[in-house]
Amino acid sequence: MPVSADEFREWLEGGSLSASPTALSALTGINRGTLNNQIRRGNVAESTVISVARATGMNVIDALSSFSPYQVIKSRPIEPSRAEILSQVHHADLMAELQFRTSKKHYPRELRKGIALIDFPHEGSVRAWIDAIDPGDIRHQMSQETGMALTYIATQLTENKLNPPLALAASRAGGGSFATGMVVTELISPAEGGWQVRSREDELLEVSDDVLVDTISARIHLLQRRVKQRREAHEYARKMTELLG
Amino acid sequence: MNPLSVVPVSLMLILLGSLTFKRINTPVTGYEHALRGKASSIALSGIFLTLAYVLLLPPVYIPVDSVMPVTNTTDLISKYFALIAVAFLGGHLSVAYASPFARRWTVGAPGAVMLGVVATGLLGTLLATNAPRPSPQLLDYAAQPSVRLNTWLVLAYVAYIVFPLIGPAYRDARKNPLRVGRLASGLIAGGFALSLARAFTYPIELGATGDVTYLFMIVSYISTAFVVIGLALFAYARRSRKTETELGSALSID
Repeated sequence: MPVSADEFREWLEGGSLSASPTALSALTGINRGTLNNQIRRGNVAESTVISVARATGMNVIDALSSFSPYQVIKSRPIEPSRAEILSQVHHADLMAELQFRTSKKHYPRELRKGIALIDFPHEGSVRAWIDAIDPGDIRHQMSQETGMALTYIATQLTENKLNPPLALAASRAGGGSFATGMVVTELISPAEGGWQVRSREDELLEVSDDVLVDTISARIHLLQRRVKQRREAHEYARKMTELLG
Repeated sequence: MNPLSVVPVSLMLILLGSLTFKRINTPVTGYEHALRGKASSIALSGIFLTLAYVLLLPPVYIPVDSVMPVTNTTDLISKYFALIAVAFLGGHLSVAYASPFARRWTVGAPGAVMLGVVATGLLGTLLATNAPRPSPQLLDYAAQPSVRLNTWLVLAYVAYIVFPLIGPAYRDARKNPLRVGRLASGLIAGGFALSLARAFTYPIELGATGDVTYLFMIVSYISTAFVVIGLALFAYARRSRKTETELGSALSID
């Protein structure tokens, strides 16, 4: 759901910025031809708006919410929910926490001292976010709202990505923060999306045992699928290289 | 002797010969696997195709043809070698790409009948050609209808074999988990598509005169080179254990 070029021009004028592709290219570093194409076709990518906002020191949430598809962003809290934060913690970090809670003697927390959590997005992190906010039929609701096929959504999730309209639709269906969808899909940075610097570390320390175990259990299920897919890919590749190599 | 006919054949021979030699002569994993293992048909196909090209070189063609009962029988033998190579390749690829339809089509009863018809047709058209002097690929007599039919029979057989394999090769070019595997299958599919295109556009080729004729032949050389390089990439992937190195643990994020 890129924003319209007319709205984009108005927005630039409102900020006393030139709408010329050359000036915008110099400002943002985006290729002039790319900008020219976007403006000429009437569809400006969300990432372009965000680049302009960043280059001019504007708040990216304020910038995005100036455009009709994204005016809803500020209608809900910007900050992520606890479940959303936990969804962006890697399963290895979840399991490390499980070990720390299991035995201070065998797994002292100091072992982890000075080692940061695994960055997100990581493999499966977008799917984990969807699962964390899913009221039961989130994929159907996303498909209905955007008109995109369920198979396309599944493919996007397999590739660990969601385009902005799908991220927006997922947030709407899940009832969570609209900004978090954009953070999880890397459209905006965690800081821009209202995430505290150590929000994941704090959540990991505070999460209850049952939620921690349930989350690990769900992630193990996803991991089983991934390991199975890798095994099948391995067998297929080996077969082909043996037969043709 | 037109260099446009000799140079491409020589280049193809260098490519085919070197890759076939490499395939069957790599220490540890080469000889045993290539000639006795699961990929033996590929090595045999490479050997037959190399022999087909060797026979087309004038310094080989003319002495061999001098001992043949009928002039230009060497060309017929070269084409038979090429047909056998294509049949081996088609049958093997149909197994590798898991296509029972292609398997039946290439080396099942329909494939055997087609091979028999084309082989007989090649013999018949050679006998019907007025060719008193040795000429590799019968190029000196290319204007004769029997030679045109002779050439088309080879193109048609290759097209017949590759037709059911283009789809499976293209699918593998998209889904093979190894980058080198996708590239290899893409080259094979591209080579097959070129072979098919040349067979279908043969009527246009008949209208070509002079050196333009050689341009059409180059299409076949390029298509063969694509397929051969594609197969060599699979051999490279096996030798360098790409499956193990590229598809490591699904758990690792390093």
